[in-house]
Amino acid sequence: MRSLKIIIVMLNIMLLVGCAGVPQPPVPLLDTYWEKQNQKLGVYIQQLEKPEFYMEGDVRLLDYAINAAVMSSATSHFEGLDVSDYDVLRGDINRHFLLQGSDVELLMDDLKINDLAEYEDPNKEDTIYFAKKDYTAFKKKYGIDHLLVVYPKRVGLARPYQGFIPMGDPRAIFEVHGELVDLNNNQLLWYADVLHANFSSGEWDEPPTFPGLTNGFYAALEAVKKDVLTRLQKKAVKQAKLDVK
Amino acid sequence: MSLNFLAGFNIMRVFNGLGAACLSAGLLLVGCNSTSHSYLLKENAIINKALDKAALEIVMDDDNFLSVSAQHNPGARAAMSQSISTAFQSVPPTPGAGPGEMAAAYVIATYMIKAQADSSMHSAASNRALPLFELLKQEQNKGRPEAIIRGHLLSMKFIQIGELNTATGCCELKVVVRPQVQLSNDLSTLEVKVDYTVSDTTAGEVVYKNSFIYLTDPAQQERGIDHWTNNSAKEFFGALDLALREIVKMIDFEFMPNERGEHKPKVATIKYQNKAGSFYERGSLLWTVNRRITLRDLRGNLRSFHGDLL
Repeated sequence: MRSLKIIIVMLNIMLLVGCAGVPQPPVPLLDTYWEKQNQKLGVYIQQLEKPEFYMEGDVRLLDYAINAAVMSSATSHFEGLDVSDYDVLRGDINRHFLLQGSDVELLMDDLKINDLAEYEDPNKEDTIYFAKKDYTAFKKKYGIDHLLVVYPKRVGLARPYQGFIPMGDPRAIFEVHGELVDLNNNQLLWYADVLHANFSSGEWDEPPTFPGLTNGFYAALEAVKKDVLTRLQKKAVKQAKLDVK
Repeated sequence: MSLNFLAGFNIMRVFNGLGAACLSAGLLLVGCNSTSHSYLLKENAIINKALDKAALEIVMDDDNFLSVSAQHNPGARAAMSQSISTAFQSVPPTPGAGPGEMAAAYVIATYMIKAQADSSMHSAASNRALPLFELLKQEQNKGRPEAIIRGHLLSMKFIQIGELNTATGCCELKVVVRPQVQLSNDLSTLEVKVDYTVSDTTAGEVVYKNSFIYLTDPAQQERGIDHWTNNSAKEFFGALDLALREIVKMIDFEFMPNERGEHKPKVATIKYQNKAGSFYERGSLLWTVNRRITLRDLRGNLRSFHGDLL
C-alpha cells in the first residue's frame, strides 16, 4: 500500500513537471538576416475577429458569470469597435521589408495555424530555437523561404479579479504574437510577444461609449504596430538614427 | 502606515453569511463610479436660435478656479505605485486567510495607501504653486480673471451675448460658463478648461453641454513656478488670454452652421509628437495651426494642444 502511494505521488510529480513546459524566450532578429537578400519572404497577418473581455486571476464559474454581467456594457461596446487599423499592419510590414530589399509575398489565405502539426524540437539543449508548429510545408506551397506570422493574442479589455472582487480598474490591451521562421528547417529567426496596455485617462466607467478606455485601446493598437516594426528593424539602422540625434 | 488592523477581518465569512446580498454589493461597488457624458447637440433647436441673443452667466469658483494636478508626473506616479506594492507586501498574511480575505485586504489597503499618496503628492505640488495661488487671489479680488473671460466670450460670433436681464424678454438661450485652470504637477503646463452649457430658457432644458480645453505649450521646467509668477503673473495671464482666444474659436467652430452636419471630420487615431514624446489620440482632427492640434476627442470635448502631426 505504501509503495502504491509513492508511485502515485511520483506519477503526479512527473505529470506536473511535464505540464510546466519551458516558455519560449524572445528571439531577436539578427542583422545577419538582412545579408541573405535572395530569400523570398511570405508575410501572413492573421485577421482579428473582434475584441474580447479577459478576466485575470482566480475566477470560478459563478464569479465568471457575475463579472461578465457587470462588464457586459463595456464588453459589447468593445466587441463592436472598428479594428480596421490593425489590417494596416500588413501593408506596413510589406513596405518595411520591401524597403530593406526583401522579396515579399503577402499571404492572404487562412493558414489555419492552430491546425498545423506540432514540430518536434530537434535541439533539446535550446541552443537554437524552433517553431512549435510545423510551417515547412508552406515552402513548397507558396514558393517562399521564410515565413513571418503575426497573429492577435489578447485584444480588448482585461481586468484583474479575485473571485468576483475586481482588483483594479479594467485596462485596454492589445497583444500580438509574431514569429519569423526559416522554412528550410523550421528554425525561429525572430520570436516575440508584443503587448501594450492603457488605463483610461479619467473615469473608465462611462457607458455607453467608454471614451477613456476606447482611446486607450486605439493608442495600444498603434503602439503595437510601431513596436512590431521596430523589432523587425535592422539594428544598424536604429544605431545610425541614434548617432544622428 | 500599519495595516495590521486588517488581520482578522474575515470578509469571506461575512460574504458567505450574506449570500445573494454580497453579489448585489459587488455589482453596486463596481457600478457606483459610473459616469456618463451628456454631449448634447440638438442641432436644429440650437441653430435656429443661435443668432438670437443669449444671456451669459459665468460661474467663477474663486476657491477652485486654479488647481494643481496630482497625477501628471509619471515619475511620481511610478514611485507611488512602488510604495503601494511594498507596503502591501510588508503585511504578513493572516494565519488561515483565504484568497477572498487576501483580495479584500489588498483592495482596502491599496485604496487607502493610494488615497494617502495622492494626497501627499497633491500637497507637495500645491505647496510649490503657493506663490501663484497668492498672486491670483489678489487679482481675483480685482475681478481680473472674470473680466478676461467675459471679454473673450463677448466676441463669440454665433451665439451673441445679450442683456443679462431675462425679465425683459431676453433671451431664449442662456449660456452658463464654468472656467477652470489646472497647473500640471511638474508646473510646466496649464490646462484651461471651459465647461459650456446652453439652455433653452423657454423649455427650461439643456440643449448643449460640452467642454473646451486648451493645453499650453510646455514651459521650461527649470524656471519652476517663477515662470508663471514673475512680473505680476505676466505669463499666467498671457497663457489664460491665449487659451480663451483659442477656446472662443473652438466655440465658434462648434456653432458655425456650415461646419456641422454632413461634413463632420472622420474619427481616427491621430498621431503626434511633442517634447514629451509620441502620442496617439482617438478623435476627429479639426485643424492644425502654428504647431497646435485641435481635435474633438471621444468624449465630444474640443481640445487644443501643442504637437506636430506624424
